[in-house]
Amino acid sequence: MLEGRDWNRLVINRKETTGDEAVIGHTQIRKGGIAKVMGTAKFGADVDLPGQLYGAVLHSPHAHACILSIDTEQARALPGVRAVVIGSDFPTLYGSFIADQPVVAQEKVRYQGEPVAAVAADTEEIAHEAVRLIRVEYEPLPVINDLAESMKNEVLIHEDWSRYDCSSACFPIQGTNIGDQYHLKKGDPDIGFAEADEIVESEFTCGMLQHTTIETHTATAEANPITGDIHIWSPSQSPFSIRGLLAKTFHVPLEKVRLTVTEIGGGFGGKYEARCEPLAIALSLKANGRPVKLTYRRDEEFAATVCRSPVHMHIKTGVKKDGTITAQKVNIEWDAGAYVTTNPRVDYNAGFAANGPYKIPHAQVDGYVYMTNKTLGTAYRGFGVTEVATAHERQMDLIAEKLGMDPLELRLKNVLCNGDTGITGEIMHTMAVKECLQAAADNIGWKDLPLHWIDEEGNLCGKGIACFNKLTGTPSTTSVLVKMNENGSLYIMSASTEMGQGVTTTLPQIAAQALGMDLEKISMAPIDTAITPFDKTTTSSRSTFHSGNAVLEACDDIKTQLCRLAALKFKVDETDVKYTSDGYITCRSDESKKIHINDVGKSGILHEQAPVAALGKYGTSDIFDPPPVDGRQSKRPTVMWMHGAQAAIVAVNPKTGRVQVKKVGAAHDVGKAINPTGCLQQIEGSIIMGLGHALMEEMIYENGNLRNGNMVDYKVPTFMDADVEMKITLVEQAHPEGPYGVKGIGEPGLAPTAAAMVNAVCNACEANFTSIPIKPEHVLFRKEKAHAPQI
Amino acid sequence: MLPKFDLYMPTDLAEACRLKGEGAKVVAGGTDVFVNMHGGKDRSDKVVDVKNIPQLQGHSFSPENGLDLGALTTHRDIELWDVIKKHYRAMFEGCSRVGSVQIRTRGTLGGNICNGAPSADSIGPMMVHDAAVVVAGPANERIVPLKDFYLGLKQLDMKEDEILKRILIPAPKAHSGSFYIKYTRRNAMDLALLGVSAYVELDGDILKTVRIALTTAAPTPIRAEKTEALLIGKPASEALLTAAGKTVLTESHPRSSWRSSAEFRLALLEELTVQALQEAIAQAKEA
Repeated sequence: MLEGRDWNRLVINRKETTGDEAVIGHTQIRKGGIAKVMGTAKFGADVDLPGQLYGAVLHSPHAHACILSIDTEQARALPGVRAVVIGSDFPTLYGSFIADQPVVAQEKVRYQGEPVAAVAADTEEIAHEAVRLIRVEYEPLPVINDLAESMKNEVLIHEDWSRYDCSSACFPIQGTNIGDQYHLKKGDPDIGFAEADEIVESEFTCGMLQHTTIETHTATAEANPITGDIHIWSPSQSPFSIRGLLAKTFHVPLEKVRLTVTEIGGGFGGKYEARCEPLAIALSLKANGRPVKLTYRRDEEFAATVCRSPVHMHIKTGVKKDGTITAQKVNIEWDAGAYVTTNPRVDYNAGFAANGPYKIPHAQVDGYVYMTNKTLGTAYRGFGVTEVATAHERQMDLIAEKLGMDPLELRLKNVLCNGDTGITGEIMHTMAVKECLQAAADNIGWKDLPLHWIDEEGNLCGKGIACFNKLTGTPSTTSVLVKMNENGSLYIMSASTEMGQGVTTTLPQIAAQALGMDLEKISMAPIDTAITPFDKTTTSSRSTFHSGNAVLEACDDIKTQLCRLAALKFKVDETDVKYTSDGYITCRSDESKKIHINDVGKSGILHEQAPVAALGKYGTSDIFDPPPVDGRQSKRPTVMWMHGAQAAIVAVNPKTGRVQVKKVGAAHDVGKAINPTGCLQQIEGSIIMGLGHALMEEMIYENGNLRNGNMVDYKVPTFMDADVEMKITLVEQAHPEGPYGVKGIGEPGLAPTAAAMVNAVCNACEANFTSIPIKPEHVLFRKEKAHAPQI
Repeated sequence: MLPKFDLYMPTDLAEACRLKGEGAKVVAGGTDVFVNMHGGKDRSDKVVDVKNIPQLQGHSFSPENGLDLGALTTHRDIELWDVIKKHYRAMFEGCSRVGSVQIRTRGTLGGNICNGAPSADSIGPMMVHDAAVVVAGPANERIVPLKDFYLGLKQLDMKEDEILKRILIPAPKAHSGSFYIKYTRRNAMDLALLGVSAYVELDGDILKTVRIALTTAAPTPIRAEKTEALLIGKPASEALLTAAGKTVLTESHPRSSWRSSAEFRLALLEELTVQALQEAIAQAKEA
């Protein structure tokens, strides 16, 4: 298959490959793609069970209020209503880092859209009618709409953190609105600042984003109140983490909760959180175990699910006249919404990434998660790394401007290379940021362009560049089961969910390569926590790396088992049978005796034998050096760093303020491109997503009221906005521990996009925009007008 | 989810008028009505679908009488009709930028007019082309100039039992041209943050007739008559157009909201008025 795109490959280092492999390294048809194109794939809301009821939720109209009373009498009396749930019915709080969130609000609501009651009824119509009949009396409380109000701690959204069950990875501060904190310290920043010739300080704010997956949150639950058996069908991004959470919340042993994963209509971190699942289970339990389906409308998706927290950052950098960075301090303040959810992990990942992929001898990061009366911040493609990259890359441009240096040159001077010391004191290896920066720059013709110019139509044009570093969550564990069918085909059972990122194509490719087998004979089995082996999460760009390693281990075992079966058929000792790299099970002493893996089914060796099935596993506890809470210094904070760079050219209409992104050059170190088109699609999709973040998207809250919770007023780029010329380089600096050298690419494509675009717009306008999205009116009315005489 | 309602699909106009008089919601393409019903904003229990009424159907053009458009004419009909692109450019620009192809294929001009949103893309262009609407009641019908059809926010000069039947737009004059500029945050599926329609007739260099309409600049689509008066009878100089851009600011009263500041809308209005006039003049010179 051809890619049909403007791209190239830059191989720096290979692992166990030559580039001539038959299956990996070549574009393959996406597994499961045809069903999605034909509309036959079954997504969450397509689940329908016999006897199924329909759920509906009453959401709080208030952002912060005490619930004085709830009258559900009329709703319960409506014919066809089978269950009504209020907060006191399920008092256990939940949360993966700190259990601060009720299934249904108890005593108090903390954001507009918080569930106050839920109904299950025979039809959707009855369920919604019943919701309208529920009467709630509220006493409004002062609303914390933003960081400044949260920091005052005059009104506490959570009065007493110590009441909650808190994990060892969450650090709230009692008596404040701070739900988590993170502190990194390397060296002594004061010494570094003293050595500097210049000190540069800047601030940057990123807006609040919705994941806006095409499929809204949905869950169907069948929960037996007597036996405690809970079966749930949902488009869950990380089924095992949600299973654990649900078992705790509903007080049943883990094995009682079975989660069947449907097709997922987009995740981006949003389907990592349990949203409809707990409500559907609560309703099913109250409805005597009848199945209940709950599917959120788009307005509920905006108001009552999750988002990317707005964040304010402050950076101070000490730098020598020649551009050498001597010290850097980063302050991060997350405006995280009403409940803590996964924010501690966002805070943590962003903390390690906040200084960028640079050599910085003295560094400090302080991150705080502030609670506000808004919808819940959580993971969003990159776990905070995209936001901090936007800030540190704006800062690099400001430093370059101050020193009169080219922005690319400043970055190349400071960038981490093999053998350099990273932000935790780790000695870096398999680095290729330098190559990524150079390739991204070349892809837009950086060296032949000025920083800013005016085109024939009078538009202000500019170029910008950005790079990033991102770690993958460590430690973590993954296991897969590879099972051979009677005809010699394979199923891979892995809980790495497919959200469009392509893992259900790359894992079969890895197996096909390992076994010398045709790719068509390898399928992914559906995911069900009762059957599929454990995998920690599908997040953090970890799946092809971790599950790929597990697949390789399983394939080794499959080879051994097949050699044993072939030995029986060949009537030789099993030590006399070998598995060749091109997929032959061959008798060493008589090479005429051989079976190709593609012919195993008809070879007869599978008959009357124990089934061929193998477990593969991979974990990173052994390599992990846990970064202590105090300073977060570590020789190995992550198994895999990911890097890349993007450069952008923009044209700004000085009369209307509209920004057009003309071209993006990208270069990402993917270690090894297993499915090149898959990698390119991840990067292209990210570029358009990042364009939305840089220029269009923001959730707007006023006094706790969401003003634009719909797809007209919340501006996601459409296809007609995707007219951006792109040139992409896939850099292959093989990871020594990745399968065939793989590194992740699910999130990285997005990490430098907004940063590169912001820098290009700033250069075009000769201005310093300090927040995203940069809207046309910011362009027209920016304070730096005097700085740009042509407007 | 749609609420429950009784659906009527009469073929008789008088029957439709009677139903509307009884409180039934009129639906044509449904691109506004059903959105509001799904969103819970409209809980009508009776809906009258007017698509089967012959008097509302069809659209024709004659060089003498201009356009005779059934209220059911869709944005897509307008977009794909060569007559429109040639003689009514502003209407092409407006109708072709509504929503998406799917929405344009469903949405009708009659619906756009009767929904009366300040941001409606077809209304400004039709206003500058001096459109009039034919409003039919159970007994008789009357013709109302489109510019007088709006009495206030979402208030129409139409009685409870009247239905918008047709839209009449005069034949284009010699040396005339029109244009519509829609300003949006993105390139599709967006509402006008601001829109300016302009129509001009030239006599040599002189602006013989000028009509300007503003979209999303007031609670209803409006004509900018002071600015028109400033321009009429004068040569179309750059200085005059610049002055028009300033004058138009006195005729509109955009509000600041989370969508945009009034300051930004005014800046756009000034710029887009000049651009729309320039484009309309260019069209007129070609005609």
